[in-house]
Amino acid sequence: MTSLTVDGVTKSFGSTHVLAGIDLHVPARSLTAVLGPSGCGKTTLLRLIAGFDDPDAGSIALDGEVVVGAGRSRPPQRRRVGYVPQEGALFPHLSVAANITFGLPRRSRAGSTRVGELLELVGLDAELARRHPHELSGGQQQRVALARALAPEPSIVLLDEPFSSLDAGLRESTRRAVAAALTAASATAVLVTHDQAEALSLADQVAVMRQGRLVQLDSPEGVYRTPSDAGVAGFVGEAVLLPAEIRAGLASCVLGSLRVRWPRADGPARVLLRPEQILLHAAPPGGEPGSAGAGRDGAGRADERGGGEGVEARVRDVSFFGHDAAVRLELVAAGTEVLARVAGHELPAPGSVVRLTVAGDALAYPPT
Amino acid sequence: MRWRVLGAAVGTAVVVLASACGLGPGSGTELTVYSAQHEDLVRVMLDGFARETGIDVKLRSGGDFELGNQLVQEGSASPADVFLTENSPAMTLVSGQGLLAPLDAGTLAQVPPQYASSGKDWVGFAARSTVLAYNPSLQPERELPTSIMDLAGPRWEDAVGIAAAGADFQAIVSAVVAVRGEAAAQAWLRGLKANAKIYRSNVAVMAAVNSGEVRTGLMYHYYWYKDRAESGGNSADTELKFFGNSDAGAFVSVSGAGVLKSSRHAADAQKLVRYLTSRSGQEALVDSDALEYPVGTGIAANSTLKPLSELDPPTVDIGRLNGPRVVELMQQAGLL
Amino acid sequence: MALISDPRPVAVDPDDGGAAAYPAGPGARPSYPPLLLLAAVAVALLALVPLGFVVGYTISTGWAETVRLVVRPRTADLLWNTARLTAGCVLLCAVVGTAAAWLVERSSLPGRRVWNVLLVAPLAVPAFVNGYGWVSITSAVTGYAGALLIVTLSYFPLVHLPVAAALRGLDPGLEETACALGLSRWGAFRRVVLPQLRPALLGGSLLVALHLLAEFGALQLLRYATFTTAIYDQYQSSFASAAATMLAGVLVLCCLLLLLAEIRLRGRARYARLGGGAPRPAGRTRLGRLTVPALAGLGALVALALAVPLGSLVRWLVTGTSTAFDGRVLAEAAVTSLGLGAVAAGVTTLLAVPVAWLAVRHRGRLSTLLERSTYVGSALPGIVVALALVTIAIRGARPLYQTTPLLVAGYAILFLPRAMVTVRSALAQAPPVLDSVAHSLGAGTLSTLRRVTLPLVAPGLGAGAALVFLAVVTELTATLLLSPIGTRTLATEFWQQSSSLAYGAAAPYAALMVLISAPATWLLTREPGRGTPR
Repeated sequence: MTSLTVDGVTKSFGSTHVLAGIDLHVPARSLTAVLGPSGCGKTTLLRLIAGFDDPDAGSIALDGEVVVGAGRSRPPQRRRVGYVPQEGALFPHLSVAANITFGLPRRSRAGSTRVGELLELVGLDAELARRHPHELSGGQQQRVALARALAPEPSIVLLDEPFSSLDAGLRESTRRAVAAALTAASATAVLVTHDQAEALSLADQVAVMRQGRLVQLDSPEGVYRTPSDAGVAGFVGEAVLLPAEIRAGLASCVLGSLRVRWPRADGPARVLLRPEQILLHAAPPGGEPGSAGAGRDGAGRADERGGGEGVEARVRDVSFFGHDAAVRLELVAAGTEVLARVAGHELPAPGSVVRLTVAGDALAYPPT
Repeated sequence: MRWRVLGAAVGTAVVVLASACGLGPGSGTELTVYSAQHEDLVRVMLDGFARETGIDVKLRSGGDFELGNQLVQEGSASPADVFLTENSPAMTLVSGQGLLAPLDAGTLAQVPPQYASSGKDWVGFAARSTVLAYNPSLQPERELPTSIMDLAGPRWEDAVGIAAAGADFQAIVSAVVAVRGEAAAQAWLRGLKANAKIYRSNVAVMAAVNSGEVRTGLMYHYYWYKDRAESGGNSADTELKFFGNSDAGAFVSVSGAGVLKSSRHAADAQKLVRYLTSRSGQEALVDSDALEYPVGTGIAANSTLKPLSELDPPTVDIGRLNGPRVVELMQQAGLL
Repeated sequence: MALISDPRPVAVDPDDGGAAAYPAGPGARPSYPPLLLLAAVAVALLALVPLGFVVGYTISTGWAETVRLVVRPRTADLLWNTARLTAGCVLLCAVVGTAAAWLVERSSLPGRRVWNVLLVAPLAVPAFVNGYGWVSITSAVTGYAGALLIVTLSYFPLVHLPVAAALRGLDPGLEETACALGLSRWGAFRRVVLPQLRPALLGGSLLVALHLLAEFGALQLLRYATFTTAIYDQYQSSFASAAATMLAGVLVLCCLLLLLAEIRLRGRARYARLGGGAPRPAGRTRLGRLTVPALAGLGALVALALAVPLGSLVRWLVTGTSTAFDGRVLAEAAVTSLGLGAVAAGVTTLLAVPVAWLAVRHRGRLSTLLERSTYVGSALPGIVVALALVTIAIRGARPLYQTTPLLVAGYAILFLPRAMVTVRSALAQAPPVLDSVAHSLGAGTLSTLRRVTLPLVAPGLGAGAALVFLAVVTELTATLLLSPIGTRTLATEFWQQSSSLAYGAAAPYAALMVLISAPATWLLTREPGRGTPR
């Protein structure tokens, strides 16, 4: 398996600019997820890597060897790139075994050991080999598509939103199987998706794209915890964005005084909190709005231990997801709406008043 | 897909074979004949010719004007050696374009002069008489028209069947033009447009008269005689009226034979035309089922037919009957 | 961590977007591969030859002469005859075809599979054989009423087939939603189902109308004068004359107007299923007390359309009293018909491939134009195409005149649209994404064609070839004009015999034509789309 380097790739269709200078490096034997909303250019990027189209500028190299660039381009059949399209796209007229061995040289096609190995790799029963694609479920088809792509031992595997056409229930198990197969095959893989949960859970490296540009390239934790801008922040997870005033490394906002991760120049800013950072506590006994320690403007002190201080908020509604719940709260004093995530076994009652404290640091971004 | 390729291959082979089958054994020469005469009659005569001379003939059948116009279009590049027509206007058309070669004197001597063209480039080999078929149960004999021109009159509304698109009827119209003049013919055609019911063919006309669908029908004699000779299915309730009196309706149409100038087998082509008008050829005609009139000098017609001498047809120059003009007149009248 | 400042505004990637089922293939943008384009243009030009001929001839004849030839009472007669027959037939076929389709696809009618076959079977009986069957029994079918009856009986399957297919593919969810919103069953049918049937109905009706405009044999037998019979008569009388070509011009105009009307009426509405999920088969309406009348109605339809002509045919076969039966000629005619059918089917399907390929894989203005050009052929009656080819061959391409290739070219022009429709849907079975995948697996262009595209496309191609074969075996008018010396086909021999009312002698040819057409027609009754991937 090889590494992939994309250098300054640009692509336009007519007057439509789709990719504007993409730089990306995918280390060997790792899985990179290209994450972005519909229309951001991620599928085009994949197709350029596969060789189905050529970039207007820039180069692409596999293991240091340039496959397209400087006016030359190697056709896809000679790039040894595995491709798994959105709907699997198995050859309907061939059996599963014939599909899988399609990319193998003719001599090796008859031998069935490879088929068995690959089916096992993707977590499918060996007896499926004789079936035809229309007899398989969506998830099974996707896995066979992956086995087919892996069979000729490609240098890199490209997956184009491979799970989006699956039923929600199938998605998770198929994802696990695919990720396991890729690891077991020591494959270098690029996965394109608009599902942030998918990208964060499967990938070693996440490339966030927006409008044809790579906005952040980082590990999943990095992208989640330290998004490069507010847009990325909002895209990769739920975000609570609040206006704040920064003074000496502390941000004053409606939730109190928060520590800021990287010191920023003093002045107005927006701070980002993740909903799971907002902790709910019972209101102090006799809790009237505006009493017991809250300042006149509603700002309290951030209290990491969760006892005593905090900002008062009224619970608007609770969305229960089983394992956790999203709680929409309205700050009593400031009237701002914030979202909090709590564990599923401690649910506040809608309409009740609770105290909010913040755990961890906030990230500061420019005001707009 | 394999079946399709296989099928195509088989098909091609088959077509090749089928067209090759047209070439039979025999002498090296093969004449190409464009014939508008009834195929069964022509085949009988051509078989006799082949027996006598051993020359094979390839036959293309069609309509008088279809073939005539085609010959005109083909011009000197035509593959045809001999042209046989059912009526004379089509032959006049081809002759008028200078496409026919002069016939051997011996050939022309075998028929009376009124059955050969004045330009000596074609000759008749069979003749047929115009008749009015009528259904006696619907059409009393005493009320039959005396002249063909009467049929355009008011008494004959929806009472006349004609095969307007056919060359036979158009030949009859050309005779009307020749005998009565264009103006009278135009008036007659206009009257017919109002009165006539149009059928596809003479057989259809006769069948319609027979079934009572229409009282009378204009056609040629031999259809009736032929049908009577077989089962009578289309003629049992039909009788024939011969106009006589040199009326245009007594017109005797001549089937012509001519040799094309462009023929590559001129000698053999002349032999064919000669055979058609010779005693053996004419007797073959008489003995056949065709029941048309022979034109050869001294050849008597089939005994079941009304003798040619009793028909009293009008005198027309068969070499001057104008086909295209008739078509124009009929178009103007709305019959075509 | 790479931080990039706010980007310049760039537009949306057209290839992206979750709506596309497959990502755009290598040729999805209209960049046309040159060889394919050349082939497609050549095919389209061939298809346009007859139209070009008629237009060119009209122009060279000049306006005054054209008016003189066209504006005559006869033309008005013919126009009136043609118009009222077309209108009546289209209407009747639409009603009969839709009703039959609904009964078979959406009601609890017993014996559905049998009815399906019986209702499509009239396609195996050419209209002129149908006419022969009726007119040899009684002459009461001549004239407007008889003509209307027989053409309706011959052509209603052309509406029945597409409407039945459309009903099969309808999403019952729409009707159920309509009923939930308060519409009655009939209201739901009228406002939800019928609009969805519109493309199928319009397409089928257009086919009926075009067939009718081109119909010659049946109407000649039934003594109903229309443009085609008049053109043929003109042709008989004065070959490729101005009058014939002018009439042909009027006919062509009518056909083109019909084509335009259909395109307009079809409109821009989308009728496919939106959103995800798979359509499930619709429930069937219980007929209850109406079962017997429905069965009786369908039975009567099938009896009139099939039993009468076929019965008459059998009767004539058995009791044939006309001239002696020439087995040799029959065999020769049969072999020729088969051979010509096979060759024409192969050639036409082959010709359809480049145009269909461009239309499916390289959608764009040019490819649509090329595709539309090929449909012109089916809008033109056989006689017009033949007339054009004969004249052009004589005037410009002598070596081709009176040769089989010219005849095959005529067939190709006439039946290209039939092949186009099936080749198109066959190509849709091999979407470009499969090509991409095959390339990524190491298969080159030729290898992909051989291993992926061809196997998927072949059954559809075969179906297209079968349709063309069927059409060629029963083709009459163009064959009469174009066939080389000595070529006898089943249709021309039949015509010759029936023209002299030798019904008995004509019967074997008719019978053979029906027999040969039967298997191809049977193919049409099989439901497409079984076994396609979920």
